Amino acid sequence: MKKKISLLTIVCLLLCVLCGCSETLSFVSFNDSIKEFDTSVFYGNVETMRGADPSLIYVAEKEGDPDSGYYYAYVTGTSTINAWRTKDMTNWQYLGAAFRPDLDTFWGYLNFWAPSVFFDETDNCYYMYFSASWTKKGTKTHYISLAKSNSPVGGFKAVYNQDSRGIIIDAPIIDFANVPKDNPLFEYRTSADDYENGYFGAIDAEPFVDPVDGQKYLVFTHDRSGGYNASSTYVMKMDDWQHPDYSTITCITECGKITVGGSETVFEGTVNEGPYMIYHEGLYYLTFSINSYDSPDYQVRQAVGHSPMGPFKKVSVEDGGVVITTDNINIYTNSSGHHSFIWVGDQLYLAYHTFLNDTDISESRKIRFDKVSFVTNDKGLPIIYANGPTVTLQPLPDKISGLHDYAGEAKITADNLADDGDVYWLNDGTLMMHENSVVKETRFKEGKSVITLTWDDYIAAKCLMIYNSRDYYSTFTCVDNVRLFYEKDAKTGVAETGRLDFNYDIFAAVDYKCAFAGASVSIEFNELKINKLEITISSSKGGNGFAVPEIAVLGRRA
Amino acid sequence: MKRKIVFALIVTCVMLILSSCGETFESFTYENEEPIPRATYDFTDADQMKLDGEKEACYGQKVYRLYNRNNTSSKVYMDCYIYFGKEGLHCFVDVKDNVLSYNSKRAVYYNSSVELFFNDWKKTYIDKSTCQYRIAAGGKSAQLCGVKGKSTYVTSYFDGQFAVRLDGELNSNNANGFSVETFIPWYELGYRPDAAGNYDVDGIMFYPAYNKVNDPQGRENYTSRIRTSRTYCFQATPYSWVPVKRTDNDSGENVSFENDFFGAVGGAESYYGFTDSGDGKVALRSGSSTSYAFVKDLSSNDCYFETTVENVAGDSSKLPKTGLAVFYMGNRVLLYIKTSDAKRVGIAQRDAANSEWNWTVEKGGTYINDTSKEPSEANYLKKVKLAVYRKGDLICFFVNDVLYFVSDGTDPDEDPVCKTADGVTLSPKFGKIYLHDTITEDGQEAEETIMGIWSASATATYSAYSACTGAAADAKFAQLLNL
Repeated sequence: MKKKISLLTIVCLLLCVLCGCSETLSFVSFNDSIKEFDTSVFYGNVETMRGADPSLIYVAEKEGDPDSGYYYAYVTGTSTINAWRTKDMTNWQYLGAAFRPDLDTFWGYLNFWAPSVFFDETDNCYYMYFSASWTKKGTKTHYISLAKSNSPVGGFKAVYNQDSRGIIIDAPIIDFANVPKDNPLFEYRTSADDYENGYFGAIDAEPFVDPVDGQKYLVFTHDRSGGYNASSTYVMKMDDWQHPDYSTITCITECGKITVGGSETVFEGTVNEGPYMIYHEGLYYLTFSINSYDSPDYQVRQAVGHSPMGPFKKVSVEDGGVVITTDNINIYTNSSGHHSFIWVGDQLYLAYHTFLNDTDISESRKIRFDKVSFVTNDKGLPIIYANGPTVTLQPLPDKISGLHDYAGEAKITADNLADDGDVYWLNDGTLMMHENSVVKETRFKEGKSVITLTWDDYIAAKCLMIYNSRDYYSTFTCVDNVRLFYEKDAKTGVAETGRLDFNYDIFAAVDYKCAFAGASVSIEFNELKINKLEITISSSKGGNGFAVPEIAVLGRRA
Repeated sequence: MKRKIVFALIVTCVMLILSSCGETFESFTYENEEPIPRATYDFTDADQMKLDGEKEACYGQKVYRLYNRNNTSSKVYMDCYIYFGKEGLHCFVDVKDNVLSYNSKRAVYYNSSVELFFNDWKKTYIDKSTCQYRIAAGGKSAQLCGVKGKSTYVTSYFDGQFAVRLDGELNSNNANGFSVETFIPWYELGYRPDAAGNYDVDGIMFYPAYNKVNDPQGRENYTSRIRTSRTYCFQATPYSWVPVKRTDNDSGENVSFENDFFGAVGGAESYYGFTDSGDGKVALRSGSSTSYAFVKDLSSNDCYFETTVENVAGDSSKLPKTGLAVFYMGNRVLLYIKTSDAKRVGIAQRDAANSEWNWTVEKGGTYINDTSKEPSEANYLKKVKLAVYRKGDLICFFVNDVLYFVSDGTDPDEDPVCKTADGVTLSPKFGKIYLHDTITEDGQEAEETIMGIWSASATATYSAYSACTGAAADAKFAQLLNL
């Protein structure tokens, strides 16, 4: 009898331990509104600033400088270059015109396009490349010039060249009439042309400093004006930011061709514009936009070379050449292009413009941001991949939030995987955003599936994001439960969230059966030391299995 | 005994549950920090006037009322008020319109919207300090500034702020209207403060316009509008705008010069871009892109005006032209000679429905080269007499006392014969023309027009001008045609 009683006691105790210690976590779910979230942890790509062709810089916090500690964004204007700034990538402050030339006297008065701003430590100045139409040569001409400022706020002042007598030349500083006439790229236009001899329409100037040898370059677009039907990308060495070495001018992309002068073709409409060059592990990446800016299919592509001067080879769509695109969806966002990159701490972000109206090409444009990573394609080539365009909340860069995504450091397992399911994609840091993405989602069969993340050491977790599929029918309708294995006050236990619904009303266009790529079930809670997570999901929208593109666990080192 | 044991076990379990699995997690909430201001400036309280679309008493009397189509019986109008602040210029406009059409996808001016232009006092040209606000009832806006040396504006940036207040619902046809309040700091209008921070402002030139859109559905692709600005008031000629003096915050004096013959008509601005040389001649000012001079107090539907023009010149790259003008409401008909061709005369029209000049007036009214003349006598640039006679819907244009063009209000395709109201058949040298928006509707009295001279970038000297109305005009007409 006594034995029976003792056994009963032990069973009861075990039951208590096993069942009674699972507790409900106190958390906030960002599931009710696309605009309401903790702005110290997330940004939303929702209420951003108006503008196009963004150029971003970060001005590090400096004691006593009220203009430091901000990210600055400079955007295209009609007769000015305008600027915004932010500290959290959600709340932006309009600075008005950072560059506002005196239109009564300045050589340009229209089409102040595509600024590129950078800080040059050697002379402690901010420089701004821009293009504009030259008043005396008509509104269809485009010339590149330079302005500088001591402050990121402005006002930037135009930089001028001087002639041999030291007299200021009232003209753009980049003048392709200086290209040596024996250079095959010197374009000697006939007098029948609308433009003067030697006119070489140029926009979208972007500086590049080769980290290998410090050589300065200017990458730019030879635009479609001046009788050209397609734009292309050029590069030239710069003696300094004001003086090009015109003899080095080289074409590095030809619209519609994989390589300049090559036979292999690629559909790009008539546009190769908005170039940007970055260096990564021995390779030079030239990114640029294709298709017309007012097309829903405006997007960013990439080419790779071994030198800033080329040759560059465009990466095909099949090999992951698309950096960012809306897939021509035109339902919740469209026309994602004309980009620039910005390092936020050690994370790379892409700034680009879409249209203010997310469902069609109308009204002004606005700026969005998304995280970028290098992924290796099937041919072993590292390529640039953007987790965008997103329209839902995303983690702020680590440097801003002070949090880090620790999912990538977890050992991850899952059951009930589909035949082609691969857990690799659950914590690789990427989101499958478009049809031709080399990045994939992890597919599961219909029915109860448990994803487990474990860490060798405890982390102080604060947020959990379970991303949902970009395919409407493969979205999971809810997360059944999340179990967090924690340690608190020298005790261990299991906290549970219970059911977390995916809100189709705000994360999908139900009428179009379209889920917003990059949407997630996300929760935030008080920091909790955990070393294991179990996520249970059972059902999909389509009833034929679901997919999870990524899991993020934001927190700090415990 | 068994019951006791079971009870003890239950108590134990409950205690274990309560003790080991009790409250573990503090409730989580978050609170976002106050966002940084949306803009670095904030003019909502400039000069202690709340920028909210409500009219403060200090605005005083209205400086101008702009009626839709300049029709003073219209129930659609815009009252404009100006206040000269210490920090900048405050403007308040109160629009009365029962249809407030708005679609954010349309350009500002294709919505029910106001256009407000501001320029320095008595400055005769536009430049970067000429500020323009376009503001729609739904809040969409654009800022523009003038381009010096041109007649255009370019989208630009200037410090400033505005507020819109609706009186009724957007996209309905039973609204009352809306009000717009703007503030522009003086420095954006080209003024510089003195050492004490004060701005020496005598007044401003103000040009209001209203875009009426009759689309209560707010359809996306609806691009029809009725744009009304003050009669004879154009965006690139600020001397023709509403002058508002600082002294009384009220309409100021006419800044245009007048002489005995040309001048104000019915209280409207008189002329600009011309200079009275004092010897019976009026010369165009050089550099004036568009110039008009109206026959003083000649407002009639039965009138005659003639003048002689000579020494016509101008930069050929600017397509200079000059000649006679007949003004309807929102509509201009011009008899012109063109400097690029000494033999060229023609009729052009800018009608109420078209913001572009129609230089080849539809159905036979194209310009002509007067090849019938010998070169020596056909050189209109040297000296030519131009005249216009209007009686009701009949408009006759004479060149050197010869009837060149006639419009009698009927379609030349249907009735190629020109006739006077008395049935007299006319034989214009270059045929009958058809003008838009000049025809009197049945049962209506013919609209009165004014007449004068004009120029687009051309220089010339006008002299021997005379005008008459009624029986005198009819007699002159009969005399010219030997009727």
